[in-house]
Amino acid sequence: MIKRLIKFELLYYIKQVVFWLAFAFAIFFGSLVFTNSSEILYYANSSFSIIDAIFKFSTMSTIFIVGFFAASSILRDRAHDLEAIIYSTPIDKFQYLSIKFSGLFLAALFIHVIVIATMMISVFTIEPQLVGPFHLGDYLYGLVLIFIPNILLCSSIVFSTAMLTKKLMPIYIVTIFVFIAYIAASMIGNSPLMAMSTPFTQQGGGISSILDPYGIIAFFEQSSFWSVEDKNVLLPVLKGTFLYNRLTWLTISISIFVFTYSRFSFKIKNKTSKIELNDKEVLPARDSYKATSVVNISDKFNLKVFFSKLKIEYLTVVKGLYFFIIISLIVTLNLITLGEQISRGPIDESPFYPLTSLILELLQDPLSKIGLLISIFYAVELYWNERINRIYEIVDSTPVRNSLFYITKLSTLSLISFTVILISCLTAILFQFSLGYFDVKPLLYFRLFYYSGSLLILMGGVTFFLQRFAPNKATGLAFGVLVIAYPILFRYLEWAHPLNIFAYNPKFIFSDMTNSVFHEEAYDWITVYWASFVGILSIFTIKYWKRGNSKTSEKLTKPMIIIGLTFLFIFIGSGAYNYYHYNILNESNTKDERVAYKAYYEKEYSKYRDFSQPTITYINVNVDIYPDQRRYVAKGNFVFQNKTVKPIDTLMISIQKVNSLVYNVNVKNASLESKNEKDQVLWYKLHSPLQPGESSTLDYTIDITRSAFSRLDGENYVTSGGSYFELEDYLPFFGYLDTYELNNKSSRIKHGLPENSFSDPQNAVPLTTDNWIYFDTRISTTEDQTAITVGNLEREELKDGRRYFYYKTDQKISRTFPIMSSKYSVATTLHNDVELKIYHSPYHDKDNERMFSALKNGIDYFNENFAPYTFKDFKIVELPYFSSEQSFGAAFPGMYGGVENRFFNLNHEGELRNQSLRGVIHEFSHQYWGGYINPNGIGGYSMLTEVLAKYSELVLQEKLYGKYSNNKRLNQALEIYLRNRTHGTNTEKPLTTVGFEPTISYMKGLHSMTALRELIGEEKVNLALRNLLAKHRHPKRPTSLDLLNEYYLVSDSVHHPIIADLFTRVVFHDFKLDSANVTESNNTFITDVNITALKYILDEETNTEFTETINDSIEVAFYSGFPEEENQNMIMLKKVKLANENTRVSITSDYKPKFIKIDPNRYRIDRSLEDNLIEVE
Amino acid sequence: MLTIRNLSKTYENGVQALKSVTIDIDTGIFGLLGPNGAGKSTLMKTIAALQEPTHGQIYFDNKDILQNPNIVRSCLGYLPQEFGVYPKISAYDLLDHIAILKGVLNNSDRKKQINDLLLQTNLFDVRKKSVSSYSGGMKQRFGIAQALLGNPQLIIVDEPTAGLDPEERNRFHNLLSEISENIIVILSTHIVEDVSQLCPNMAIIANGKVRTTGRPSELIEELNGSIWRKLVAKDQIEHYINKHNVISTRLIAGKTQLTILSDIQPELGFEPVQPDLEDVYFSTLSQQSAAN
Repeated sequence: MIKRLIKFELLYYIKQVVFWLAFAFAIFFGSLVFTNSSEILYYANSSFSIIDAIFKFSTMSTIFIVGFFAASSILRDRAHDLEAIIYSTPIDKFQYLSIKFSGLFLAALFIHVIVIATMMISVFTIEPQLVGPFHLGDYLYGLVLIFIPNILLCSSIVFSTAMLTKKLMPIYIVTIFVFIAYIAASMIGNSPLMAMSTPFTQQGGGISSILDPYGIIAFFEQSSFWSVEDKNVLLPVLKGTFLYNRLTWLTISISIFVFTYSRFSFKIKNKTSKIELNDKEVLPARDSYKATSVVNISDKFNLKVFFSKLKIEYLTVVKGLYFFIIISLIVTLNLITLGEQISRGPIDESPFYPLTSLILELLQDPLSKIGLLISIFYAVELYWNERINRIYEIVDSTPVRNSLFYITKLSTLSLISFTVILISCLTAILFQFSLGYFDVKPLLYFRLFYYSGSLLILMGGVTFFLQRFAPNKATGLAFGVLVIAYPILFRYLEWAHPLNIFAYNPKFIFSDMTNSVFHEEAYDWITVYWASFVGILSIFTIKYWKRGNSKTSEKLTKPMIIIGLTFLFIFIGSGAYNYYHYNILNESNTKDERVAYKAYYEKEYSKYRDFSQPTITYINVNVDIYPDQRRYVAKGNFVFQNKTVKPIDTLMISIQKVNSLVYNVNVKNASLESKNEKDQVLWYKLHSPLQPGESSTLDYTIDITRSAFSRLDGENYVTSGGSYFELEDYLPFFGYLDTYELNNKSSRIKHGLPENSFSDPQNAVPLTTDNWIYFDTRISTTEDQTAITVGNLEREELKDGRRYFYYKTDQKISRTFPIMSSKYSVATTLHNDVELKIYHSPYHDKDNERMFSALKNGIDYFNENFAPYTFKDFKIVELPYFSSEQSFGAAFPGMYGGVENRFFNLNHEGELRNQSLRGVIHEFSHQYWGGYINPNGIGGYSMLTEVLAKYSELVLQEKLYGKYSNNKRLNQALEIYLRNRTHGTNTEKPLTTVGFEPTISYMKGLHSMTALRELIGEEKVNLALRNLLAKHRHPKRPTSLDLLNEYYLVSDSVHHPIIADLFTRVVFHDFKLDSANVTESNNTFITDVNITALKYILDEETNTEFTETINDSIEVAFYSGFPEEENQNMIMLKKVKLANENTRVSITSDYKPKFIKIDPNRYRIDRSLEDNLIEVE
Repeated sequence: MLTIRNLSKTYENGVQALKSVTIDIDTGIFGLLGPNGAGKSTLMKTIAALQEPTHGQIYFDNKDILQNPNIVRSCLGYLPQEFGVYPKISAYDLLDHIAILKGVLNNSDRKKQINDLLLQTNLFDVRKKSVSSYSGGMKQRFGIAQALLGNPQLIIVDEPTAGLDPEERNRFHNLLSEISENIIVILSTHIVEDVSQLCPNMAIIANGKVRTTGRPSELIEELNGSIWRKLVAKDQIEHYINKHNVISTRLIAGKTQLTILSDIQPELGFEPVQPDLEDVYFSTLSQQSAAN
């Protein structure tokens, strides 16, 4: 009997539309899991990918599947008034609840099993070399330990809500609540699924990994330092926080069921409650019935109905408990996001000023996700409002027109959307006030009403339209969710285009400096397009508006037809306009197409890689910037010289492809032989060959427009408020453009290209490239802007309403040619004949003094320790911030361009240390490391650039703020390094050979330099660098081996093995303090410490680690309490010689230690720190 | 004048709810009497333009209201058989809202009419309470009040007295007769008493078909001399049912009273009685089941 009833239950689920939607989604998700993650070393179906995908599906979808299933099926007894009949059958309460619960649980489980089954099958669609062996156990593990407990939990929560309230609304609310609560919790607990999560502390997530209901934090905690090898085969171990997590939530699931059982009443609820009458009022006299005159076709009627209905529906929504819950969640979420993001800042934990421009970005993001759900949710609620409340027959039989019903409901939805946005804004303003920031710029907030408001309203409009096709509310809601979900599919298939992603709403990033959004105009046009689309749908929504149970449609009136045709006209017109700008003027090719083109170019032209070509020695250019047209024109000439030993008679001139570029090239004494229009490659024949040492000239014009419709390129844009472009990229170029070459290993394999990994440095052939240039530049821009480039500003003039700037270099510099123009304020100071200038937005001046102070320290230190600074000035120039993917900026000869909200706008008020120091020193140091020293671009090049920039930060920080002032930074760097190295898909390389891997260069680089300075001392490191500058300046192209050699030359040979470990091998240590015993005699303390020390070296061939006996001196420190990060409570520090796995040392001290720590300053890399510390009994 | 011609309705699941219904309804209260499931609500909803018929025409004052549903909407007062209300809204506010939807735009007129209706339906005391908290009878009275808002020319009330106590029902009957002088009121019910007390005209509907129409008095007249009653013991019922045209049975103090339709005295012991509307109703239904 029970079995039969459960079967009956399941059959009921299967009949629901929602079930099949979930089924389709499961197949969709399951088939995509393995397609993106595969790399050669990292199997597509690695155990980590499987578990990771199962967790992702579970955290993002389980609650929705369970929620929608419950909404569509579980309350059906009541919905069909069968409740009374069921309740009077011989089934008892427990059986009844168990049957219903099993139905929900099994239906949801079925969908989850489909995900796993699809994953298994989809493996066959992937290239075999990317697939590892099949392990059924990995999938079963995910099913049993992740899916089942999580479905149980979600089911019990939703089931309990359904059975105890017997209403639909609470089911939806609890569904969204669980989802949002998870997001909020994971932001607090730093779940790695959230983009903004920070690195785990090695001490573990602790409480948050138990509180997280899905167990994902515990999983990531266990796996955070897994190597690629580990990821292929390891599964999370059911112990520690992961075990406690699973047990805790299983217990909670069961408790919820028990609670439901105890509270569930097996009787039909009597809904009516007694009304208490007021004390008898004096009743007005009772007249006989009189009809009252009515007018129901007038504007007044329409207006009155509109406001009356708006009021009733809006108030019903906002007075509701659910609205209150949603709003509280949004406020909480906003406060968490704002608090986290503003206080964390872009890097180094320098908080941002809570600028409204920055806050808008943080508010818009949740609005475009959760806000969409709210919009759909209330659109569905409003559409079905009269039906659910069963008042529809009364309302539908009034003379109110369909159009008025629709307009009122859409307006109510708009009002709800605006309320949600308004509350977000008010929360943010309150947040700003709480930080003592009062420059709120309320008008800026209004942009959010347009930007997010239009999205929510359009989404509501389309949801209304779809409701007509839905047999019930649950299906209607699912339709709405499909509108949100289909872009995911489109993006995956690379079909996504603003014209087919409904209500296209890219991230809203507002540049405070330029007072604009990069794509603003394009967004307006896209919004017109989608709004007219919704307008057309509206006509049909009105025509087919459901009244009663009628299936007939309303005849369209003439004005309606005219309005509809107008929308259609606007839709087609704006569609064409958008298409023209997106696809014709700006080729909107997909990422795949761009990659394919680059592969094609390399195959076609790489044979010219070593083709003898002349070198450019002098560039003259006139650049005219037209900010309002978002366009610039560069005109000028090159002088080029044959620096080879043979005559050159053919010129290959390449021009990098960029949208809407018009170019013209004219070479003196040469004729155009052939021209490949598509690839922009021009072949010239010189009338007489260019002899070695001989020079000639070339004239060129380029004209580039970067409209709002173009893809944002962080290094090539023009906007009315600010422009920045690296002109050298678009000037004609001799020979093969190796900048096109693909770096990604798997895309190279996919396109049949050979691996182009950075070749290892060799000592044999020292390279010299004498390609530095003199520049002579004239830039014109609008009257109110200042234009900046490399070189010295010779003069400035105002002519015909435009401002002209003349720059000239007084020495040869590398071929970098940045051009900036904006309404800059400039701060200037003179330091030892070097003019220091900061060009910044007039409002972003708070760090000027800190930057100057840092620069002065830097210049002094560099002059004294390395080599003299050669330029007459040093400029720091602020660049606008338009994209969260933008970099921090870039260094050029005598100049640094720093992005607002990255380098500027940071809140350093009240800080004791100069928080601008690191950033400024890092960027200034690139004048030397990457400037004067211009390394050979092969493996290990970053050892002479970023690694030394990190060293420069380090020494200046410690010079100003003490020896251990860098410890926090070092701890963070090591954490990022250890965590990210596991994401690498190649075997990790040491610093001497590593290619473009920022984590290694910056993070491990900082560590290696810290350890080196400790090992041989700052003086000797600086001597080595001084020697490097003396021997290897431009035009020499030194390698990492040249630098390593300098380190060896200045240091004692006993240190050479450790130096080799730091730079030429990937080495890890595992230290452990086994025991510590203290004995006291005559006021001195003798501490016996037992140390275990293991050393691991990564074998680059096999990507496995082997051990080696340690032979090193390691610090052991005593502390008077739990060790503080900068060793404030250190009472004793001693270097201990370790030459065996186990060492016993006796250390004498004047004070009794409370804690003992080995390698407290982390000069060696240890992946498990918890056993490095011991508390003395 | 409401003219209904050959109106049929077949639902998607195959149920034929109306079979070629043809009725003319004039001003005054028109009683639509029939058992549950007879098709009364379907007919009413179709007139109220809440669903479309499969075949047939409906004219209101010679205007086709199936083509132009707004004609009927603009002068309709409709009380559905079952209805609910928006949550947490007081009776006064909701009446105010519905009055506006019906086009009562003048604020003082509207206020006056609502207050009058609240008094007439005895809801004035609780006008500030949320309607969703009302008891069944109170809610039903609210339904009546809302149906009378504005200036209805056609009032459709579907099972309006269900859930009303006798006193309330009386008050409702008075109210209905008060307003029905110049307008059409269609009262659907399965309670014969409602019709006999109120309706100058009526139709009996069963299984989707109109079985009979006419003035109640005339219909009763037709049965004069053909209704016979007798009290019998329980075990004898079977015998009479097999042998005679029993149109209704009723328990009276433990015994069963049989009512038989017959032109002559059926058996000894049966007494002739003055027929009433109930007899008309039951005899019509029994003829229909006999026909089936």
